[in-house]
Amino acid sequence: MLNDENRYLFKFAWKSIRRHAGRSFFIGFSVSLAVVIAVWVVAFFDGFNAQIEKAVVNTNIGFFQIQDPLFAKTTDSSSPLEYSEELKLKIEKYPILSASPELVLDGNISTPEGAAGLIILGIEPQNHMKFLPIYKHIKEGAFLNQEGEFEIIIGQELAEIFKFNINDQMVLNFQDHLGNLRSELLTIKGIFNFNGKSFEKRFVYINQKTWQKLFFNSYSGKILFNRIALMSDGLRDKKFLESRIDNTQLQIRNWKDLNPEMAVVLEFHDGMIKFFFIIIALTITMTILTPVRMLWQERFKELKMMSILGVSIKKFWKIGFFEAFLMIVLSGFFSTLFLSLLISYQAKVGLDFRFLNDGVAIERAGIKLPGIIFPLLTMNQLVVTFLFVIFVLGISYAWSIHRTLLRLREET
Amino acid sequence: MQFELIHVDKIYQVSEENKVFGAKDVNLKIGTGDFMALVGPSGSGKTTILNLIAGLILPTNGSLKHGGSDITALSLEERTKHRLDFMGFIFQDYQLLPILTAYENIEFPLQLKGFSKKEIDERVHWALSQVGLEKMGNRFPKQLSGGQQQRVSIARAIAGRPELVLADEPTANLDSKTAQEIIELFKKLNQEFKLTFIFSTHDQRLIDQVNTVMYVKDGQISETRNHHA
Amino acid sequence: MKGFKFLLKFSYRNLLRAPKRTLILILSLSIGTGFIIWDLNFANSGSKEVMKEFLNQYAGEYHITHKDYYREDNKKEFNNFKIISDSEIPDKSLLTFTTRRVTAPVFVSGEKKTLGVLLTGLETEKEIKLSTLSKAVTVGRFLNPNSDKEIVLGKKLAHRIEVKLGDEVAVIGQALDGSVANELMTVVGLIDFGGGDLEESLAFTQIKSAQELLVMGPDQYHQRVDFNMKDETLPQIKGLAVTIWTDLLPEIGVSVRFVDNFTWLVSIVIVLVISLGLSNSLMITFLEREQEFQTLNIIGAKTIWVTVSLLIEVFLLGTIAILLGLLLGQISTNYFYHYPFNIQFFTGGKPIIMGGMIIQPLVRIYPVLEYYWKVPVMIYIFLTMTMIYPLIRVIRRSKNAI
Repeated sequence: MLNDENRYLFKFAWKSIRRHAGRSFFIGFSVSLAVVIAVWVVAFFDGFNAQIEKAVVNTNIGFFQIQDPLFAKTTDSSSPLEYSEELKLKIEKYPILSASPELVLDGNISTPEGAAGLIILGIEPQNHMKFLPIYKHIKEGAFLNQEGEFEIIIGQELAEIFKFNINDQMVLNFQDHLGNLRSELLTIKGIFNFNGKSFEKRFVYINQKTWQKLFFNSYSGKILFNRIALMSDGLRDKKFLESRIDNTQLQIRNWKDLNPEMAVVLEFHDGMIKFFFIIIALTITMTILTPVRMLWQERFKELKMMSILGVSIKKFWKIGFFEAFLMIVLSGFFSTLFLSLLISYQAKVGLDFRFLNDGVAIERAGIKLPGIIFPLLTMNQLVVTFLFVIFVLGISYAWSIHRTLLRLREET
Repeated sequence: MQFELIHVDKIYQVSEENKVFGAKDVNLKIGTGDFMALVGPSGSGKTTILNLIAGLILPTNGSLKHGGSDITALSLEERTKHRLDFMGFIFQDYQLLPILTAYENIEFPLQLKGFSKKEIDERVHWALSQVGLEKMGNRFPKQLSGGQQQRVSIARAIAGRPELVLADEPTANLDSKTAQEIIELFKKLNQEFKLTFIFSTHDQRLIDQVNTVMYVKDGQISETRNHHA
Repeated sequence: MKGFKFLLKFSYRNLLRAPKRTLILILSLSIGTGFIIWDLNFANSGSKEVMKEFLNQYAGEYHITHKDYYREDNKKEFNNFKIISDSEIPDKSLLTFTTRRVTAPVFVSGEKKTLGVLLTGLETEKEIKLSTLSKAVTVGRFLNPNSDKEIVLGKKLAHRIEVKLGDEVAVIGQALDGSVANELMTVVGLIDFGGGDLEESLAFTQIKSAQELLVMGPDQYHQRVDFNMKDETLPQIKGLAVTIWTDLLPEIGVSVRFVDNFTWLVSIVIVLVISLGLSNSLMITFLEREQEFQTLNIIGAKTIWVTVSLLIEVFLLGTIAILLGLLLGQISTNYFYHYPFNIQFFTGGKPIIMGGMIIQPLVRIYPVLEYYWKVPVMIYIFLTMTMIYPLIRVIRRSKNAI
């Protein structure tokens, strides 16, 4: 491929670019700028989506939940299963990073300050500490342990509304497994500050022992679960999970099943970005077409002379191909370099994008979204960068060369 | 009014040690009605001298005067205005503006000078009649032959009644019959209206018609011959 | 400037020098402009339509309440003991497009399960007329204005407490006199909000039933909800609070503003990209005419003349393209006014949930006047900025000798 002729033509192509260095630079710069902007926006939204996902999974949902069949069907907590050693060994394996077996109970509190519906989660504290960092965000008091009984930790928002303090006793109303309405006194052991006001107002935590005693009136001595909330590397780990619980009746749900509103937010972002990207690609292609065409048009006399001297159409295409190749490499390289530097920097320091919301952080489906976004640089984006440049410059050069050579054929 | 070049040098510094004289100690006086030619081989400096007279480039040493005023002291924009007010130009390749008709090409410098519409019309028609193209005013350059284009170029140069007309190889791109016609036109304009012409040329037919021939070699006027055609 | 007409003619003729090329330049700018106009119209009017549709379902444009009903710093919290009546609203015209509601945080019990929900007592006939809530009932029917003690539940709620049509549920709460309120109600319908949170936490009954449950007088209620979406200004009522939806659902307002602002950002990017390409093309056309500019300089045209003529060229090109673009934008906007745009296009067909409810995906787009001058101004600014370099280059290179 790199024989003498090709090398010569390649050198010729390079010299043609250098001859119109300013214009070639301008063309390459325009394409690079367009691709940097477009891909940066993709990186921004990739980062945004990643943080939305993180915010969602950090609300007890996890990336996945394995649910007992009855709970999966009707959210009925009355038939929990045992979180046996066997099951634990099957599940708590990479890529699963942590697992929190939980019992779920609907309840409420009612005081002169008002009433509030609660979700009472019975957790195994050691597992839960690996799953969610609530234990690190205990503002007052302490986190739960396995031995304590009739202790509860509540959110700061709930504490403020109902004027609760540490060691206060709160009356929890709920229905037990027989359907009887019951009220029990629980001692507030800790107050946490985590994940926004809606979260703090809605979720309260007790240990497994307390939960079982409340719901079943007795403690089985085992760790039970209605659901096991799991953290992993991402949604692609579903296949692993499915293989692990293959011969059971357990059901897998991912966070998108459990929070469809947020799932759609991500889909919407993705759709918007793809649309935006296509528009940018088409726009830049249209606007670059003319300058590239003109670069070839003004060399027409030269090409005609070369044709008279014996240069074939095939060779002209080769020259054009080499020119396009060089421009693509240069433009692609500088775009990639600049993008990598820019996004790597921003991935470290973050970007406060609240200016897009007039200074206010977005909250959706009860989840406060981060105001500082860390754009995500991925290999995908760099591949897309190059493909974009290839598409834009490739089409522009191909069209320009085709039209010029067509005219050459007509005139010679 | 008189144009004068006094001990004018134009030096181009090609490298540290290497200086090239585009013009060397040029002394030249151009009076009203002069019909002169600068003659010499390619690269001798004829065009450099024309550019110096036109104020397009400034001399390294010496001065250019017009009616006693030092042109070299003027700013770039002032020299442009000076060219507009006092000079006309004829180019080897006509240099007509392709998007304007013959009439509009001639009109162009008159517009820049700020003449009224009536005056412009009068002058353009006068110029067109002088060059024999009265009926071609609304044609575009691509619709005219080479000779006709050069005539339009001449009309453009003279429409403003300049004090000096500079012509750089005006007959180089013309066939001999047309060239002869153009040369006769120059002669007529010089004799009838006392228009001052200075040519840079190789064309012997034109050289034979001028009153003064200045031979240029290596940027210097090596010889001046006066003769009457 | 003397001879401005000639200058204009000169600039205009230069555009016609290479008509195909000029056409491509104009087209690329006009298509970009048209897209931006459409896009901005879509973002603005589209979001307004989505909000209208969303608010029409349940939330309403604004609420008239007791001034202490909503908590000052958190409008999600309310004090159910703060009630009002129509005698406190002097302007009776406000009653036409508004409907009364009684709110009651209660427990709804099925056979096996009890959940806390917000029971809302509705003026059934008015609700059917003013809002689209009744249309969200997909199983059974909406409330009968001539009956009482009927209840409509969110589908998910019914599923959770394991009740179906025709079942009776126990409703337990706190009456305004402090006593325990309880009632048996019959499930007549299930509302489908697309599986969002609201479906689990809302229940509806006739206003009379709610008033009786809470031991309220027949003229007493908690909210007057307005559904007149054409309202531009909020009424001022002495002694009462008027709370607009953006305060009640700030997260929705913020999301809408985000889309709006993001669309502007996209528009700026597109204009920048187009301007760069245009200035690239224009620079090449200018450089092609380098010799001509030299001739102009030689025969006496000053730099300013040449500069102005080039600027006029760019301005003319830009103006023609912008006008064409505005037309294209208007035509495309008009098209989507008559044939609404399906916003599920962005989600690959998946339903869009906002504020716990499914949004009706078909959105009518209509023109927003301010964009028809803001966008041209933005384009002119960008065009001018991106022309600076080509102009400087060309002017510099034109100052040459013969």
